[in-house]
Amino acid sequence: MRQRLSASDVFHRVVDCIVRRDGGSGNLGQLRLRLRLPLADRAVDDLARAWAAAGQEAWILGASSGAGLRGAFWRMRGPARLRCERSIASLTALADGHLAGGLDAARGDLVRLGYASDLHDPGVVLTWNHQLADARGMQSLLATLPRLAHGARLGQRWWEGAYRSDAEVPADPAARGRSARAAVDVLRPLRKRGMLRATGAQRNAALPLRLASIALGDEDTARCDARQRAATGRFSELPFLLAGVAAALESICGVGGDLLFPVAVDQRQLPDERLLANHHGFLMLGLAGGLATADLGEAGRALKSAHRTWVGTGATAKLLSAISWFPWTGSWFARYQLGFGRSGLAASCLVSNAGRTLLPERWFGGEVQGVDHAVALPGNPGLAVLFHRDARGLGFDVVVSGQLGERLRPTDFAQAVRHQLIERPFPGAP
Amino acid sequence: MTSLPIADAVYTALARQLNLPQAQLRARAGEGLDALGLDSHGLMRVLLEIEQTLGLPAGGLDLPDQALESPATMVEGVAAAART
Repeated sequence: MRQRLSASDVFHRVVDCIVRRDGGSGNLGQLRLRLRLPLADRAVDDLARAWAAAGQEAWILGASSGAGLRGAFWRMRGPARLRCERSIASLTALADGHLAGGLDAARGDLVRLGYASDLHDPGVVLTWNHQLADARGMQSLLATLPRLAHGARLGQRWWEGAYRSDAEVPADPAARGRSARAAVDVLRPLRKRGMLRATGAQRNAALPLRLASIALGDEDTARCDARQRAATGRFSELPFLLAGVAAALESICGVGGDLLFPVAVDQRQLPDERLLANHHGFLMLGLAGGLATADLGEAGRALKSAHRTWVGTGATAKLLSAISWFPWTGSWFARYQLGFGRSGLAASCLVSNAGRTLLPERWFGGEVQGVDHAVALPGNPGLAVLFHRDARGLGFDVVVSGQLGERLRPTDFAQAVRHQLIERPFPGAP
Repeated sequence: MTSLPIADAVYTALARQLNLPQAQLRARAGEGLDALGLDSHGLMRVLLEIEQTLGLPAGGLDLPDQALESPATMVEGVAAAART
């Protein structure tokens, strides 16, 4: 059985190739579910049974990706044989090992689940190749596992063509073609815009990955929310977070030119039951160099305006149409997002905001502290910041790859972002 | 008091974004927009659709925070913005 890759899948397939070219282990996403205490033995057995049941039902979890004259496709030959790994190591060690080990989509290695029983750092790690699905989909899969252990079905219609289709992209080929051609108007000005922070000619490697995670807690989250409201208003969290990242970058690296943020945004229309697919669009938001350093609030409003302009031109739909229409567009856009191979912070940094974590407070009988995110990213730009919310409040994970991690330590950068979001004064801040 | 076309424009745009039947959305007009599933990206799309439907200048619909509490307050907010 075959199924065509969606435009989002194609984008992630290109990124997967770039990560491997940079010596990395593929385009991986990862969820680190942190438990307060290890699970009971019986609960671990339930988890393993549920994971195996998911693979039996959803063949897509074991699909291999290939390419032919009509484009890239998924090939599914039968149920995915999924096994839950059990380790006495810490969750951090187990998860780091998954990231370094990689998952090869061409061989049907798409997902990996591990349980770490270390008393001081217990939890479950789910690692997946991003060609398969986005983080919100995989969170939903984790949330569904306890029901599968008791005989429920996943209920995913993964074999249907529409299952992977991108929201906003016209289904009619003629309309999609027109939308794709219109993407040129979106891409042309981006190309003229100077790429950001090209810091030299040497290439950065995709490995090793260095990570740091921060959860703000209730008090600091409330403070951050109040400051965000004052700066950008309701429903405008993302621009403020981006402004904080921009100011942190400039505080550490200096003001070196305009900044450009490649951002992934959720395109799921709730209730969306298509868990095992990518359903997000792409934003490219520019910010004048030095603005975030001068005034955090003003930078947030400028990014909000850029977001609105991007949405107003229908750029997300046009780009996805173009990626699914012209074979070269996905590759060009991915390379553009990643700075065309320039070193250091050439494309600023990759940012995502996954929003509120979908997992319940208790999972297989264990108390969930929170869920940290991680990615394996290309050597350029070699930096990613992943925002999310859970019981610990607003949190974010910083991932730095290769030699960049020696100059820009993720812990330092995470602290710099935290300072910008909750401490640094700006006009109008409460 | 808001005019009917404004309310229709707001509920149509919101219903499309939230993937809800319009009648159901009107019945839940007092509920929080975030509880209904709206996010920042979705709000952008809703505001742009309302601007286009009502023929307002592009980018001119900048609603205050209190207008973004619920579908009902959004109708009031858009009506106030359209008057100015």
